[in-house]
This record gives sequence, structure tokens and C-alpha cells, in this order.
Amino acid sequence: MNRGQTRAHRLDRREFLRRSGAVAGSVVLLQIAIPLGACASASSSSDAPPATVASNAFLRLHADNSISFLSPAAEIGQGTSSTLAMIACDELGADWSKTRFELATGLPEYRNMLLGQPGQLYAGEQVTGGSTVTAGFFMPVRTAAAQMREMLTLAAAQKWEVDPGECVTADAAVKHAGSGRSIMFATIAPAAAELPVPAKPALRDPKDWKLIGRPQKRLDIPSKVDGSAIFAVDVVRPGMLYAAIRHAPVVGSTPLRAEEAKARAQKGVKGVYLIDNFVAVVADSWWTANTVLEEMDIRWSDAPNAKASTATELAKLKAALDGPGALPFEVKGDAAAAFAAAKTKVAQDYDVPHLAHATMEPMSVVAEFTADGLSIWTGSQGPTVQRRAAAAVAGLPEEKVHLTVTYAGGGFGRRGDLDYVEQAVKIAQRASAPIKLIWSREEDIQHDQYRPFTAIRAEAALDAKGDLSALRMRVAGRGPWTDQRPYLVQNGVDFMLIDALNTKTYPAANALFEVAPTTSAVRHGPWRGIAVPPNIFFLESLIDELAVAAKLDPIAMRRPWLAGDKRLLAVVDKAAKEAGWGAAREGHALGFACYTEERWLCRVAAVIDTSLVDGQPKVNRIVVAVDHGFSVNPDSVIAQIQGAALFALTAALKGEITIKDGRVEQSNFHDYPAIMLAEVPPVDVFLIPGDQIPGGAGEIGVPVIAPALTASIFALTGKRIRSLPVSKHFA
Amino acid sequence: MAFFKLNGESVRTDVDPAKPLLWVIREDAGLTGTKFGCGKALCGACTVHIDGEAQRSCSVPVGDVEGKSVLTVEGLSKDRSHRLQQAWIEHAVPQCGYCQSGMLMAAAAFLATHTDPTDADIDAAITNICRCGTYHRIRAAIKAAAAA
Repeated sequence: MNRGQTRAHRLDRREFLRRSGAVAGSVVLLQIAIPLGACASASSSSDAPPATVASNAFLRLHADNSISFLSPAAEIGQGTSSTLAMIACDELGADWSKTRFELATGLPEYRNMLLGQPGQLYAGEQVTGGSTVTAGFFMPVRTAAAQMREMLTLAAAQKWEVDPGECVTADAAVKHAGSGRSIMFATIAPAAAELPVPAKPALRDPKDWKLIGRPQKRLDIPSKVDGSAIFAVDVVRPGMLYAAIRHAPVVGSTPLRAEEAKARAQKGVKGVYLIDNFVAVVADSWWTANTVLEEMDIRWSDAPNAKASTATELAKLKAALDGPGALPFEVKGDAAAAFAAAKTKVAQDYDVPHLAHATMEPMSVVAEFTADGLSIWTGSQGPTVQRRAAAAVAGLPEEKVHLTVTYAGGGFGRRGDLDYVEQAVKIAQRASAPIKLIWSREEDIQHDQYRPFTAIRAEAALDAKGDLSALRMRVAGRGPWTDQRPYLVQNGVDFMLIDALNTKTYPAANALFEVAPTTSAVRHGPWRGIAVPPNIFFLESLIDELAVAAKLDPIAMRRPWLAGDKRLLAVVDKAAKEAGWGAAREGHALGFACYTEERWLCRVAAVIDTSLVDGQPKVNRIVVAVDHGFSVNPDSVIAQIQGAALFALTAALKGEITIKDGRVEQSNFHDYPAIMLAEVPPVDVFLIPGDQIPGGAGEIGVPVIAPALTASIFALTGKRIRSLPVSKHFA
Repeated sequence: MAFFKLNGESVRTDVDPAKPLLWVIREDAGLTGTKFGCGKALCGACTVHIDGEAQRSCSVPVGDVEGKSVLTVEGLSKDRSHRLQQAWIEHAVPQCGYCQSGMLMAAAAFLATHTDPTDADIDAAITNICRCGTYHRIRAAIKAAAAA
């Protein structure tokens, strides 16, 4: 074909589409509207369900006896849409092969029982976080399904004039064993709809569960192998334009001027906007918008943060550790006296760097003003807070803002933030068109709300009998809530900086835990596990160093301290046994870490095997033993632990965001690398079944990895890594 | 102008020939299974086949596919029947799913030349990034598909 036709290059996209479509015969170019709403189904993502014949907050029963589960949580890969759908299907007695789900928002029932209730962390909000989805919705979903089951059963029993207690549900039908009669759910649904909703329906006996507790195929997976799963980045609206964005490189700076006229003159560009701390270009293609933006010479205002660097930030943390004014948050006995009387003690400073989330789908959102309101599409971990923020920007009452939750290409805590949603609304206001905002990877890495750069001064003491007599810790940094949710910071103590620093796992009789808040040159936010991974790295590293100082085996030394927690001991023993603790192969070494987390109802232990290859530590195997209570879908739990181990391994080995002249130095996967197949060691996960209460699975695999890895590297090389990542110590 | 085959159908674009194939596929052809991840050919989320070879479409100008045949995840099969798609479902590979179109396309090109791959073969050939950490299942699914 003729590639040199300059005239053709001047055609706008609409003309291009028209012309392309006009060419006869073999030439086809389609603009396909993406169907929205039905995000997933067991059969086909494009099948819209037939008419609904019965429904409540969590369930729709359709005329073909299929059901739709309305998932109150984001689907960020953790699989809870399917986990909760299993619970609903089983409790109702529906047909799993005819079960689909939708991502739902808007009802008060979607407030998590563990996070969203009055007095809880996110009171009144719909939030996907803290590994609480399965635990937080286990009973509400069972109850809603049981209500529907009892109504269907009662209607059938009344029709047959039999005792409803003699009826059961299975395969989407009510069945009466005595008479052999059976009626499909959809057939009896109209009669059931006339009955009152039972306030306290009887829940199915766990011995009758057919799905719950047994591995099931996730419902979203088929749509994720053929490209049909719709993420925010895929949403298409009529007349939609594309927005690219460039943030001020330094926090606190704003754009002064940006060669707007020159940019506006570029082909395809529809608008150039200087807003708050960013410049946005709107065009008929995201590539055009981003290319024009990259070439734009933007003058930014000066900001005090422009003097900040990783070195100045670290100096700030060290000064906070050294200085007065630390705030105590746990005080037991007399730590000073216990240290004075100690037989063995260790005292070390540790630190962990800023980390970006680097979700595979960069921040993306669609915003469209309609005749009387605003519609938003995004893969949201916090749809109610984002909706409220969008309404505030738009000057609309909240009920005029409709937010559709799409699949999210990774979340890791990032997709409950407000920034990108507010930006899309501001751009759509100015562009007078539906806008799809996609952050480039560079913006995503450089303008994240990072896991905080955190340092700690940690001390532990053994008394003459070998008992853990004292723990003293002072952590310095700026917790993510200090800026994001200051109303949750009590007496200056940001829980999201101190979480997991306590004497629960290691019951020292004397303890002093303090926090020294600092400022930060970059923004902070929740990152998978929030404060737990850094603090377990600190605590477990300290305990490992204590064992070395006392010339004790790290597991043997811990064992008497863990005696009160049978569940924790069980995972410790399992991990040690499976990893061959005490019998490392020639040239290999093993490192251990464990922790207990009451909020996630879990106990976790890990053993990591490393060896040196060409002077670099190589991870040969990771063994993780987990008791997280009851596993509704065990295969999903294993997938979460496997994935979390690799996510945490990336962070521990090479994850580091650094700052120079106030700017984040990393920009893409070449300098903020993620682990790839060639570096992936075997991760063997052992689930120890707990009681009937499901625990969290999404975050529990993260915290043990860094301390087990650095303990292993110490055992291997004698080099103690107290400042992550590992890579900077093996240049 | 570029004239090429997309999933077996002939298409013509009059867009700037410098526009990356990724954005032509997503914005102009409306096929959104191919994902934008990094824009620098680093992550592989945008992997498609160009004349049978796995390529990162974010870094291929559409002008360069003139006369060539492009295959996206939507063209792998009409009904998820490709042996890799079946293996991906069987091994429950995806978590968030965002990287998986690219993973599948990279794996499909790889399997065309490797009938009995080892872990080392897979590790050397598939350099796409998955932040969820589905790598173990990717290896297992590729081997299962190879044996199918």
C-alpha cells in the first residue's frame, strides 16, 4: 500500500473510521462499544442475564434459574467476587454452573462488617482493604441467601401444603423428599415475593455445604483469558476523548505556563489544561495526548521540597530517632531496668525505603457528565469515598454521581485513593466531553502515594534465665493516614505506622514502644499490608539478631515464647519441617520469620533457602505455612500466598523509590523492576486448617518474606541487611 | 496509512504511521484485550503476534506492520478453546488478569517453537511482568498446554 500519502495523515479519526468502513469487501475496521455492567459470568462474559425474578442486596435470581451475585468488594485479583458468590450459591442451593457476579456499589449493605460499621476504621464506607472481604461478608451474604432460600421454600411448601421443614433446596430447586415433588426457583419466585422477608433465617449446617471449603474455579478467569474482562482502561463512551497527565515533579509545585497554544495546534489535540498541580492534554487518542505532553516545555513553580533527597529524608528519620518528643503507644513494666539487668541484648537501627504500588494497570478512570449528573468508571477499592470526592469536585449532590466499579488491574491499596478520580472530573468539566484519563507508567511510578520510608531503633534483651525480658522500639516516619485521613490519627499516633509493633507474638514483660512522627517530601498511602510488612521485618530481624547474639537456634529460642499460641506454633513447626530446618544443603542457608495477626485471624511462618551465585544471593525456595482460619476457596487462598510471596520478594530484593532534588528518580520497570519468571523460586504453601471463621488472605503472605530472606542471607554470608532492599548491598 | 491483517481481517488505518500498534488496536479497532502497561516494551502487557512472532505492540509503529498479519488475544480462538486458554483456566492462572493477554500471546508464540519446554526454556523466553505473582501457574499452564 501507499504509505506516503500525507493527505491521509491529516484525516481525523472519525474520517478515518468512515473511510475505512466505506471500503468494500475485505477491509473492515470496527469501533466496538464495550458492553458494561455484566463483568463476569461462569459461562460467558458477554451473556446478559435474563429477567430478574427475585432479588435482594446481594443476589438476583433470574428467569432461567441462574443467579447473579452482587459483589460488594473490588475484584483486584484476590478472587473474593467468586469466594462470596460460592457462599451465596451454597447457602441458597442454587446452581454453581449458572452463577455469575457483578461488581456492585451504592447500598448500605455493602459496608464491610469489619471495616465499615460505626466506630470502625471506615465507618459508613464501602471499602476493599485489610484482607477483610471474606470475613467481613461471610455472615451477611449467608444471611441474605438464606432469606431468599426460606422465602422460596415457604412458598413451595404452601403450594404443596407440606411442612417447609421437610423441604430442601438444591440445584436451583425446592425439593420435597416425602412426595418427590420439586419446583424450580424461578417458577416459585413470584409466590415467594409475596412473603415477608425473614429477619433471622436459619443458616445451612456446615456439614451440608457443597461449595464452601472446597476448591472452585473462579468465575472471572474465563474473561481474563480472552481479553473480554473490562478494566477502567477499556471503558469506551460515546464521544469520549482521552486525557494524559503530567504532575508537577516536586510535591508542592504547580504549573506556571506550558506552551499551551503550541500544544493546542497539534493534530488531534482538543484541550490543554493547567489544573492544581498538573497539566492535562486531551486528544482524540491517548497516544497523541501523551506524546504532546511529553514534548511540552512546562514551567513549574518553586517548592521547598525541591531540596529533598533520599539522604535528607533519611537524616530526618534518624533525627527523629535521636531526638526528644517520641510518643509512647505501649508501655509495660520497666524496660530501662530490664535492659540494665540483661544478660544478652541487641540494639540496631533498621529502615525500609519508599515503595510504589506499580499496579499493572496504571491509574485509569472514565468520567462523563450527563444531563443531570456525573458517571464514573474505575476499578475502585473505595467507591463511596471516591464518589463523594467526585461529587465535591463537580459541585453535585452525591446521589447525582454514579460510580461503576470495573475490574482493577491490581490494587495493592492504591485504588482507594482520590487523586486520579478528582483529576478526571476536573478535566471532564473543562473538556465538555467524556474523558478517559490514563496515567502513563512514568506518572504512576513518580506520583504514587508511596509506602512510607520508615526507620526504627529496635532493642531486645534476654535475662539471665534466657527469657525475653524487654523490647524497646522507636519507629520514625509519616504514616499514610497523617495526610490521607488525619481524623484517624489519635494523639499524634498514626496507627498505620505502628501496626504490628506490640508484645502479642513475643510477650516481653517489659516494653516501651514509641513513635516519632516526621514530615515527608512525597505522599504516602496504604500499600499491601500497610505498616505490617515493615514492622514485621524490623521485629523479626531483631529477634533473629538476638538469637545470633545468644548463640541460639532462631526457632528454638522463639519456641517457649510462642507456647501460649498453639496455632502459631503449628505453622512454625510446619514451615520448619517442610523446609528441612537444621539441614540446609551444602552452600545453602535457611532463614526464618513468623508472625501472628489477630485482625486478619492468621498465623504465618516462612523459611527461605538462599545460596550465593556469582556473589549474588539467589533465592532457591520459599516455604510458607499459614493458618488463616477457614478457607472458603482454598485454591484462591494458596494463589494469594504464592502471589504475595513474589510481590514481597520483589520489594525485599530490589524495591526502592529514591528522591533527588525533590523528584522521584525511578520512572518505569527498567529502574523500578519487578521479579520475572527467571527469578521466581518455588513457593510451597501449606495451609493449616483453622476453625470455621474465615480469615484474610490478601496481605498475610507479605510480611514474613523480607525478614526470612535477610535472616537467610545472614546465615549464608554473615552479612546482616538492616536497610532494604537487598540489591543495594550486593552491587 | 497502513494496511494489515488484524485477527485475519484486512484493516486499513489512515492514522499517523508513528502511532503505536497498541493504540491502533485499542482505540481504532476497539479491541481492548491488549493492554497498556508501560509504553516502553518493558512489561509485555501489550504483547501481540506480528507474522507469528511475539512483539510488544506499544513500541511498534503501526506503519511498521504494513502488509503484515497481527494477532491479538481476541484472535487466539473464538471460544477460549486454544490449548493455552484452556490450560490457563484449568490452572486458575490469572489474578487481576491485566497482564494475562500479553502472557498468553507470549506463551503462544513460544509454544509454536517449543513442543516440550522445560522451566528454563520458559523462564528464558517469557519476560513479561505480572505484579500479582502468577508466575508458578503460568509455568505449569504452559507445560500442560504443551503436553495437550
